[in-house]
Amino acid sequence: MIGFLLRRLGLAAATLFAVVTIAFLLGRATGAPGALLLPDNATTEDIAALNASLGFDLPLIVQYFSYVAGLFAGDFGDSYRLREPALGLILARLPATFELALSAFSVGLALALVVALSIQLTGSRALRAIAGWAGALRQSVPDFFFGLLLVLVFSVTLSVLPSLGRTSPASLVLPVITLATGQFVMYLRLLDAALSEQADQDYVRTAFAQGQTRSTILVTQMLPNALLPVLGMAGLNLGGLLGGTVVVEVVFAWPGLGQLLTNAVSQRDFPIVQAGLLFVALMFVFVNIVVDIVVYRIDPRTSLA
Amino acid sequence: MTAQPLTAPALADGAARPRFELRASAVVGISMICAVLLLAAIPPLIPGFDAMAQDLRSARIAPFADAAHPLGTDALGRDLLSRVSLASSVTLGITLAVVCMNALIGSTAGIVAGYFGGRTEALFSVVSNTTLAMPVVLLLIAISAVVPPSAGLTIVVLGCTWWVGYARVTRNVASSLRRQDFVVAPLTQGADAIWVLTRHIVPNVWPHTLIIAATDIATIVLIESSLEYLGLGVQPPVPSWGSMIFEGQQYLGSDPWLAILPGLVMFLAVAGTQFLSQQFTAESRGSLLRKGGM
Amino acid sequence: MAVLEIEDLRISVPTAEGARSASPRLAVDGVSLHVASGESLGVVGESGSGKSLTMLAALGLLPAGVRIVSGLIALDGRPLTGLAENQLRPLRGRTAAMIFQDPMSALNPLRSVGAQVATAVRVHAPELSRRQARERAVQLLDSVGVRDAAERAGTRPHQWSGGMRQRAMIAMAIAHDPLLLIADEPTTALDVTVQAQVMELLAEVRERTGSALVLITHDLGLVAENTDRVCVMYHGSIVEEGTTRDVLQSPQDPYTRRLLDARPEAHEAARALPSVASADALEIEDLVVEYPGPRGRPPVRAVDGVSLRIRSGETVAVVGESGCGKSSLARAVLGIHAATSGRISLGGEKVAAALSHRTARERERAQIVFQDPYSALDPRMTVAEIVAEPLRVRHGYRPDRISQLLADVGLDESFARRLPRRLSGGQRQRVGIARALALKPRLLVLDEPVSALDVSIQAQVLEVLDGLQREHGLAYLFITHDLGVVRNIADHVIVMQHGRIVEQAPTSEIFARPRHPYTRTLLAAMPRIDGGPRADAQPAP
Repeated sequence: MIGFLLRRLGLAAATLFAVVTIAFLLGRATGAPGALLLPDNATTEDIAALNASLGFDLPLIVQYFSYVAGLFAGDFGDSYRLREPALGLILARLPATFELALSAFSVGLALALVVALSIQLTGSRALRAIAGWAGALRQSVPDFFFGLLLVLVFSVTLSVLPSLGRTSPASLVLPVITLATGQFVMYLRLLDAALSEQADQDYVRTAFAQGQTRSTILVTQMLPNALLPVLGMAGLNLGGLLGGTVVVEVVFAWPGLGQLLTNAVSQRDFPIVQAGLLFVALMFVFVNIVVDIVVYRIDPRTSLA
Repeated sequence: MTAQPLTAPALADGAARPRFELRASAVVGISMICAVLLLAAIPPLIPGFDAMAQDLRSARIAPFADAAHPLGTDALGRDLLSRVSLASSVTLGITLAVVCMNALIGSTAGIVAGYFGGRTEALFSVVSNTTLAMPVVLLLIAISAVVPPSAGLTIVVLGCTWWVGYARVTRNVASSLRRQDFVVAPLTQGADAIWVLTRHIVPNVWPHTLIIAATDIATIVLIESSLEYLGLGVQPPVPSWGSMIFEGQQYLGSDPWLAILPGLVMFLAVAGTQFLSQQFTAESRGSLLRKGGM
Repeated sequence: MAVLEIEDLRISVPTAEGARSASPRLAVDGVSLHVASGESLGVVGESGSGKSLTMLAALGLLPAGVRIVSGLIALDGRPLTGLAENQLRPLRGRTAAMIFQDPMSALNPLRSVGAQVATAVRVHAPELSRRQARERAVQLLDSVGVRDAAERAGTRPHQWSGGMRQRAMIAMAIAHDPLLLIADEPTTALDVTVQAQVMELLAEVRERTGSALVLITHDLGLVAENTDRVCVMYHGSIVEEGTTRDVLQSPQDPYTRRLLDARPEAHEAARALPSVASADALEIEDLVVEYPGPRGRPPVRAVDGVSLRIRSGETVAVVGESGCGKSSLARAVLGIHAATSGRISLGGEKVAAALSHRTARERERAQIVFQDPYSALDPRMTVAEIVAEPLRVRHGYRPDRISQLLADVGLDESFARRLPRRLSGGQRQRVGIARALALKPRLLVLDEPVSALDVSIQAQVLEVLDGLQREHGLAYLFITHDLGVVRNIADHVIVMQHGRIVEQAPTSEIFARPRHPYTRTLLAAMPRIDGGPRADAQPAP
């Protein structure tokens, strides 16, 4: 266990190191910010002085170390535009994004579980075929277009649900449906494949031979075995989920991280973008460590992929 | 026991290689893809094709209303048929470039890591896990804050980060192949690693690569159009499906067609690829059902 | 009263992919049998005979797509045909219980063995609390000879040995004192000495509970020692049945006779002794083969100082149970896994330990035939391409050579363009042999070449090997765990245990006068057809 944990943490450290380095290099590629921060009529000496005071004339290695040191202290840089710590701005937007992402994930996964288990218990080819086709159709459009279609139907034509902003509980509905359907399709596919694979295993036959009921076998024996690979995929798909959330936020003008980041890009406010990237990578690494540990506890035979 | 040589029994269908059967969904898929390809290829050959000319007097004409603009015009009076056609070529071109890069990088890395194992494989693990951890969309957003977004940038970034899916699968396949006896046999006969790799490993691996590529095309199109929706990737005035949808979103109430048309074409392309790739994926068959009783 | 009664059973299976036939295939075609209370019935047949499906039908456990077309099945006097699932369920595990072949995959890898036995207990005794069920589980495990049952119950299947897992399966099967035990190839996946222990356990358990037993197997020796009556199945029908002694000693049906005849140990080899002047095909001295140990541990010695010599035209068999080092020995001789120390000489000349350090000519001298016919051939290459590959590697390709090689192993031209997936196991092994002969080696290393084949096919392949040896003067290093095969083909026998040679002698000596206790144990565990006394057994050291 300890060995596994150490190796896993080592891997995480390597990943974070890579991300931090990329973020740093990107930041330096934008050039010294002096010209951006000062008003237009500033002289070149003023700009140079500001850059020097910000440490931009030091050797790259030194800048790198002070950057990393700053990260440990919680200093993710300041927004050029608003002169506030970028981290604070990001944290302020997080609840909205989490609300969207987590709701979509839970709804999608729960629905997928229900449908996958039903397919197994009933053996209904029709159910599996319908789910397959519906899934293929949903996965043939990007999240933003699907969201747009929902807006067209429910907001524009039927005027039943709001299409923009985060004003009422009802405004959560369309964005969540948009994301959750995508999650549902993905997890259904994974679960169905995993459960089908388990159904063919010998231990299931043994359980039958002992007189266990189908539903008991499905839930107590097959499902835990099937959930293992699905859990692993869930951790990895977090990146995709966050990416999807970013886009959906733009579609629905949802005041979350995604909006913050895309605005920052168009305004060339790089520290926010940089901090956002780092923060998301950190979350991703953390979640995957937790998932890997949980999987390892359930099945100690797993190795690091 | 007789010492007569054995004769191979005749096969039911007389063939030594398995039969190839096209599934209904694959036929549908191929038609959809052909439709998109035709849309991309034909309009540029028709005189009057111009995706960029603006004509504010003919703005927002509905589709099928004007013979000069069969699919209507957008807010700036540009012909939608031409724009959608060009957008299709552009997006498909970028997608193809990305998928080829990914397949090549990923499969090579996977085969090398899987076959040679040991430290090569350990290095591969670290690199691939690190790459996986990068949220690609966010990374591209971040880079675009620094480097001006363009089609080329998208190709490079996606090409360099999305290969891990191929690599993992090919690594697993190569790794299990390495332990098969038929891979060991040539070595005992005097062959070297290159022989084994080219004649046994690669031929058994590349069908997997193809399958992944087929499904990946759909994924890449979706990611790419999302980026274009956000304003990254191909820059205006060159049209792309994502950016056209973004432009059309503001007119959703009055002229929904502006956003729906590019979306529909994108749907055809992606759904077509998905249905086509179903030809190659095995159907999930297992189920717990044992209709008890006799 | 009969515990199990089957009358005119017909079972259909889905047709194979690609074949277009109007009616589905009948895998079981009119089978009738009965098992009396407390009796032991053997059901013998090779793969595809329908023996497993017949018994699975008795419990309503047929896989998807497989259906009972007609016939009657009655368990303990109660007809099963037409019963719904919820009426069958109470019978499974309680009136009749099944023991499957591969205990590793038959147990849930994620749950502890104790928990799984407890579940089996609670299915038909729901009034028990979890703790009571656990206690009963430990009792059951103890009763089947699992030492330290209480502690081991908490561990998972992959931490148990094969024999232990099978004991756990037996514990689960007897949890409710079933009237009928059905054992489907219960010992095939186990080492010979463990096999004997498991069968002893079954006999003991049956004495305690009075259960009847149906033993499904392909192994006639097993049937001879453990059953009262036997029926022989072939292509879905019973071709012969009767008391075990009658059927085995005076078989009436031609297929039964073929089966008995095909057993390797039925024939003592009439082997011409090679002349003293023959050159050495292989000589090894003090060979040591090590594998790196698990993290931080010292390396594992698979082969610990083995010396042997094989002359042209001679067959030396290396026997031992799994883990004795015989496979590592074979791979080291070829250089596939380099020996750590010791000397290997092929054709009189010393060769390097690692394959990559040997010249191409040196590699030609020794070739290998692999155990698993399914991984030995590249699924994408035709037979002709497979056999041609060694010739192409060495730039010596000639089409007539390919035909010659195929003819040598008894395959005619029609096989040349076939893909491996269209070949049976025996045919694949022949292709493997042809490939190994392509470079005209002097030594053929055969790593359990017939273990994965049906008995009648085994006999054919062994015959091919015998003919080839006579014709080309080949030396064989024959690795096997099956003493019956050894008796058939070997001149010399080497017995290995824990990486060392414990005894080596000419074949007749080993069987007539075994000296080392381990050799005696191996011989004792070997089931005999004729019901005669086993060779003197010594307890395993």
